[in-house]
Amino acid sequence: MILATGIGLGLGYNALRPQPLPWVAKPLPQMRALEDSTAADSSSLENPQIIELSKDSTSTRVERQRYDTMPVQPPVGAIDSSTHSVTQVAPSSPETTTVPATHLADTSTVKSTPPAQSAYSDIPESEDPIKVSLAQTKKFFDRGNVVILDARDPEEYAEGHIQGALSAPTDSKMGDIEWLQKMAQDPRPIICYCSGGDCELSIELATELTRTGHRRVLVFEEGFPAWQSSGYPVQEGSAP
Amino acid sequence: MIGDWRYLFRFALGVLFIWAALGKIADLNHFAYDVHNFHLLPRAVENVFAMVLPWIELVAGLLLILNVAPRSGTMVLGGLLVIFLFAIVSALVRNLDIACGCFGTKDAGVTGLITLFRDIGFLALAVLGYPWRNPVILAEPVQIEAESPPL
Repeated sequence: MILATGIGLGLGYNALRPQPLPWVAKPLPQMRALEDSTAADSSSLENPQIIELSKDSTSTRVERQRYDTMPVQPPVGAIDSSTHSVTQVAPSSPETTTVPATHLADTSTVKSTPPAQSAYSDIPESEDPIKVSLAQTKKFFDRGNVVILDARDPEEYAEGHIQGALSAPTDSKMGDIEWLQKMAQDPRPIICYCSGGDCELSIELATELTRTGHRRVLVFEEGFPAWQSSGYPVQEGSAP
Repeated sequence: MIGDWRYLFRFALGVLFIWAALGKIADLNHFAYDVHNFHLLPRAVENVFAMVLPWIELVAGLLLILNVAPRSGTMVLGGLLVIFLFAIVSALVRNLDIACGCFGTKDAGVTGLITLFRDIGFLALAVLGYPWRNPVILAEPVQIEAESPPL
């Protein structure tokens, strides 16, 4: 009797909710990987020394040194610690504009020049998220004008995250319709990541974003551990 | 029946489960996500499980507080606690770094030993609160001498 009452009330309550849970959870999409041609970083190919170094067993260390010394173009949302401002870079323009960091949490208030659609020609539109590799992620990071979302808990985000990434914990953002719709209207590609391994937070978040209507959502499955171990720019601090 | 000391345990258990149920009902999407994270159920039934579980907890918890059908209520909640125990142990064995979701969004802690011992404690409440039937004390057998039927 208790079970029957509970089942009846549960199903009835769900049916009356404004946005009821579907009876059968939609399966996570089988993500396809972004074609390798897009991963080839032209700047890397033009530099034979880097290819030579990559063959070495100490390539990780060497790559790290290389990225430590190379000029890194700050991604969208990157915080300039000296001026407490947020850098916005349009790929088609060398000009850099800044907006106050206080506007970072609300992506709708960030005034960036909408990039031309051709800027994303190497990222196909898709109704499902697309997997990207570490190299591809780094390429988009360097190019800028992407939104990088950290799907992990805020505590993990505060301990370290990809430089310029926004905190978007899947647990809280999944049900935040307003935020999802706001993100869906952003023309820039979105890259989601979490802790790598078995972590599905980034896939869940990316799936929700595509269901809301965004058509260029990428998932960096290897996640923050791979990014950090490669020596790429990371940042500490609580959520913007 | 209310004066029964076991009722105190059932009352505590009922309050706990009502609290837990309300937390889950308040954010059903989040709870469904927590259920998914355990990877114990087929994806096809995860949402239905998430829909009905909090309400079963709520109904059983209310019955315990009202002291209506205490045996059934305690058994249902005890059974749920055994299932939760299995899920927690399973998550620990698989080294899953996931939120318990036991009390909805209010319980964002990672499933770990604390969660395990907490569940065992709740299970102890159910065992102590279960209205076991009093053992029947049999009197000493009395030998009844058969009287000789009247002739």
